[in-house]
Amino acid sequence: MSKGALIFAHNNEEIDYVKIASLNALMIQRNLDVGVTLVTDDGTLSWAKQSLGEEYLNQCFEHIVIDSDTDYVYRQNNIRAFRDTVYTVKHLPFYNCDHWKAYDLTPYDETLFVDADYLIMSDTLSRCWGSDHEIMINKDIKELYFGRRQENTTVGKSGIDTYWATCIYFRKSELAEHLFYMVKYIYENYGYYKELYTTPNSMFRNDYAFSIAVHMMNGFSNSELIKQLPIPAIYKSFDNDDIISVNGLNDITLLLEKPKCSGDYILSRFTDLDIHIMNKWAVLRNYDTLKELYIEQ
Amino acid sequence: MDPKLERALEFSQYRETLNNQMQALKSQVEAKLLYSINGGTFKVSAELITFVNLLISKGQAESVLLDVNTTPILIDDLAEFQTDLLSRYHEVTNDYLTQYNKIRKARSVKKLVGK
Repeated sequence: MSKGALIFAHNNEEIDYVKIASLNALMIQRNLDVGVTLVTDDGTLSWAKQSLGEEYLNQCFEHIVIDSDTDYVYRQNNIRAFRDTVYTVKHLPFYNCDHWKAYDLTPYDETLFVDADYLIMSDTLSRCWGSDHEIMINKDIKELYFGRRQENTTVGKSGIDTYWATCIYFRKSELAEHLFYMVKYIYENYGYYKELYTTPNSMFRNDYAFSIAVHMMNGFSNSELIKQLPIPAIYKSFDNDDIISVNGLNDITLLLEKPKCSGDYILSRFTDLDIHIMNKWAVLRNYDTLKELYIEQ
Repeated sequence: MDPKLERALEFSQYRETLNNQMQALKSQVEAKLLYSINGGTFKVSAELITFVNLLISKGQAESVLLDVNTTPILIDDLAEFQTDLLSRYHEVTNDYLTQYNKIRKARSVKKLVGK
């Protein structure tokens, strides 16, 4: 059975998601020892070839899949506040509505789908391969500032469990196919489902769509139909946090903003932990160092 | 600022960083203590090791065990499984002790997170 990782990346006018994805691909190669497939659009790929070079892209990705079926209405309307710490905020388009395509676009029998900015800095996820479960998504999420209370564990007022689409393992199977098609259906009828499940945001969000799909697939109840990934939790930093230094392979130091203390930080060092870095500029500022560290000569 | 208060606040900042470093270390240890076999995932713990030992002492060579997702997993070689669990347990806890002591002995933020 073939196995590999899948990353979606669609740039906006400020954030180079392919550049972030390329770093993550190098990390995945190093830590999980599998190839990575990039799913992107024409415009993003054209810029990536120009700015990063084809040779480097080929080094990072074993396949590049072009998905030309862009939802332009979503792209124009889904404007999100991206922060580079508390001091900079930019309102930019966030194209993040196509995770349901992963099932059809993956070239692998076993796929680890990860967000471009979920940096794989450990070999923990290699335990997924050969799992008994056709699909695994995490409900458990933890902040890197461990004292912070976790929010959004349920979707809106509906009370259903939130499943985090940051990282999904799936094997080509009937159950996985059903789930991804259910997410597609929710995407196409999101106006109805966001009202039904009282999702907090008006725009489509993958986490909510997967959570709703899991709930529906399970006969409209919370249960253990979809198992958790073989990791303790998905660890995330906020976009108000910053990467202060890269100390070595799988070893970074972050400035973490204290809860309810805007602009006040603590230092924290993390080793061998996969981390969802929400501050994209923080990753891009450390691009050269990370690239040099992870690239296999 | 009153120098005594300043030192007290510095200590508070140090404790906050220390607590977070300890939690980060625990997360790392939790991840390393997960062990996958035959499509299931187990948390390596003293309880699991003891239970496997009990099964072996009762003459069982194989057994069905419930993994972290309560999925039944057939372990066809309990002795080998026990060896793997023990090896992982020792490896991770020894490393945990080293890192724990390093953090415990660090008396400043710089020493806690320094290279």
